[in-house]
Amino acid sequence: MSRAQARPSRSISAAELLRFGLPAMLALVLAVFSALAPGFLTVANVTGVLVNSVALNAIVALAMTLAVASGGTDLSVGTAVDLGGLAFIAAVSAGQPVALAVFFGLLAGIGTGLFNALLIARLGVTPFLATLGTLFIGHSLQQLATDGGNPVYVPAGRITPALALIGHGSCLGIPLSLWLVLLLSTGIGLLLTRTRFGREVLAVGIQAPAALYSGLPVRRILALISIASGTIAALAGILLSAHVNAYVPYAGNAYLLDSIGAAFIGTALSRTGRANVPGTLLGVALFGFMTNGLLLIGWNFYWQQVGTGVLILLTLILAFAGRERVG
Amino acid sequence: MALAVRGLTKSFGSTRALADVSFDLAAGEALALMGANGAGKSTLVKILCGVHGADTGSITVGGTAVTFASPGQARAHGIVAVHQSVADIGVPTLSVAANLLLDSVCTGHAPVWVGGRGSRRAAAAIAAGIGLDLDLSRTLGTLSLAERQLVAIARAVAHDPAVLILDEPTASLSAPEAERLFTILDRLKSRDVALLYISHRTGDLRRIADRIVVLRDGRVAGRFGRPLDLGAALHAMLGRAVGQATPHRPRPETAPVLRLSRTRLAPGATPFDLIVHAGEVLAVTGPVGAGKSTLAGALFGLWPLAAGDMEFAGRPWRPRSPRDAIRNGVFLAGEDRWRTTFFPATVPFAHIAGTISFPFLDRWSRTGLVARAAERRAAAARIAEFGIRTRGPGDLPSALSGGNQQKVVLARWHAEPARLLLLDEPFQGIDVGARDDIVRAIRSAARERATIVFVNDLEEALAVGDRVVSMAEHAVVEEAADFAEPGTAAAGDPHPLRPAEAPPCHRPPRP
Repeated sequence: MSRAQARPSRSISAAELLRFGLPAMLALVLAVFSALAPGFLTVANVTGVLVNSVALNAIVALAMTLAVASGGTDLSVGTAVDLGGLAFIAAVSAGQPVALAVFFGLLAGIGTGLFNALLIARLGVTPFLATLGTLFIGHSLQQLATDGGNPVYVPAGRITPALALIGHGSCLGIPLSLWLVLLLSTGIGLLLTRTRFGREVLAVGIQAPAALYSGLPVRRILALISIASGTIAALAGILLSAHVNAYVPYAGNAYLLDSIGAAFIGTALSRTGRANVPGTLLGVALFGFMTNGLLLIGWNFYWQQVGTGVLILLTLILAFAGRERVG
Repeated sequence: MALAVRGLTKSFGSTRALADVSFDLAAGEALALMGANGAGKSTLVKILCGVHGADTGSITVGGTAVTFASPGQARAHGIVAVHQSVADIGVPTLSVAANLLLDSVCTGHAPVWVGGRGSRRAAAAIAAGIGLDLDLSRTLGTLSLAERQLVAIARAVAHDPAVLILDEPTASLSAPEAERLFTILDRLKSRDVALLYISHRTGDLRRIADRIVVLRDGRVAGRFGRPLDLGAALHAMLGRAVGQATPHRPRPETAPVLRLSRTRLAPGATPFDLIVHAGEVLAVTGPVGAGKSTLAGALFGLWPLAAGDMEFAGRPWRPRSPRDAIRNGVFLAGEDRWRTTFFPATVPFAHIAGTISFPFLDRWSRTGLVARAAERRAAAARIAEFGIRTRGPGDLPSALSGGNQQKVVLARWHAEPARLLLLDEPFQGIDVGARDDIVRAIRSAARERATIVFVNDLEEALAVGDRVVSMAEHAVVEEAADFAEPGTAAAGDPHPLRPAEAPPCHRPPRP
């Protein structure tokens, strides 16, 4: 009897814990590092983290969020980043107008997504394996295109104001990349929560047979999500290349693990356990500030991944301890 | 006395699940436990198997008072249960033999090395214990539900139980399969095993039960001995007489809505013809694996026919997908509502309103946004129409009883007009009272469309159908019963207590 009475209060606190787990974790990381590193909580540093690390990671992680919402994992987001960047830089270097180069970059992302879509929707390969295959193929393609992995730099004469605008432009003092994050987050957030297509994506992701029996075009939905994911990731590749005026092979792979981490932490730490945009964004911010903070307090670079790993585990332990109590 | 239960009481929070429940069960006796959904059957079973502890009351096994802290302890005292959802029991990727030995592996009594000749011999011994006639090397996942049920029972019997608890063991069995189970149960009774048999299938009870205890609202509402008065028992269970569904109508003189000709459901299966008229409710019966779901799926565009032609509303019917079928007014409420209809609570549209609107979102909103207010209004109307017991459209199906869940499924496929409504096992896991409601719901709207109901149970087929056909080996093999005259207490009577002596098949057709 006493157990049954004690349960409600405990489960409410556990649910609250889960609800505020991610913001609380972020607050904790911010508090700890601002105490340890004097330069951490300054406008310059925070802006730097948001622009240099969070923005591009967030865009890729949003692509991943779509894939996770539809029940898969897109391991080829990094590939789409790279191929997008490659196509973009190649076009710019060849003297094409920047707008056309952006189009080519996006086309590379669409192509990557289409290839995944073909494997997943037409041939019925599980998304994890299909995109793993794409990851390997993409790696080879980059090797072939760059003589084994040499960066492609935009010739000095081709660095136009338009290119600089994409790489370094800002509006109202906020860099273009952050505007894009805002735009995509709002768009994808509304798509997943408010629209019919969003419902359909979540339905396919969580219970594919029920989606099929309810008359959804399951394959078409999976294909659209693959293409959207590839295109969004390629966008990040274009921004990245424009920022450094170069295409660096395999640079996109750095985004793969962070985007998986952010999307899944956001999923695990939501009350409902489904992929969601705010969770993903908080996850990306958590990673960004953690890495930055470790750097500022002078941790050995090689130990930084340990910091991130421990953070992920701590967060997940928190999540599942909370989830279990909530029942 | 194998088992004596005295004054068992159990509350969950403010809900009293069991109140002062007492009964005895002698060795070699079969005691049937009846109760509607929520009457406390599951709680009682869980206490007896050591899943829950009782608040007050005592359990005596073989003369010794016991309290169980875990299912393992209950098992050690000889109480073993075969739970209802056998589909989840066992490891589907392992062989039957490995599954039979699973308990010994899990309790640490198995040798370190499993598999091999010794294991096969041990598994064969367990199978022989209930006369299980199966290839033990087959993978569990490839067995029919009925065969898996028997494997689950063999596993339970391997514990050499003093008391065997069976929770609706015939729910997924056809008549011959059920009879096979009863033969095994008879043998167990003769070996002095006490059976606690949970079911409200009257055929089962008549066949196997020596006595009946009825639970209602957590209390014992009636006790019945031989000769069993099943009518009184059912009355005690529901607290009212079982209602009469709409009297069945004669076959309407309407155009055929669906016409199958020379249809093969599987390569090599016998071709068959089938015609379904507008306004008619056709019940298709037959054992698990006879091809009922295959036929339903072919009509709904889940997969193509192996051969033959379908004609729907006078035109060739080759649905490419369920989407195609739904657009043309062919709806299917699939078997296993948790797989085919409901979504888990992690999605924001898992509530009743979202469940009902889901297949029709594109019809109900042209903009691509979800019209939530309209969705709620539509759901509220269906909730009233189908008498779904719930607090409102925002409730989750998981919070409802089985009967009400099934009404949500029906409500969904009545949210838009159907031209052909296919219902696969619509009576799964619901009690008799809810079954009557659902029969009434199916029949009351049947005039506007053609309806095909696929059910295992002949009694259910007769209760719902104007006409009953049966299937075997992927073909419709016979007209099991023609429609009955209105007013006769035969096919038109959904009352589950129809005398078993009157064979419902081969009733002479109406002159």
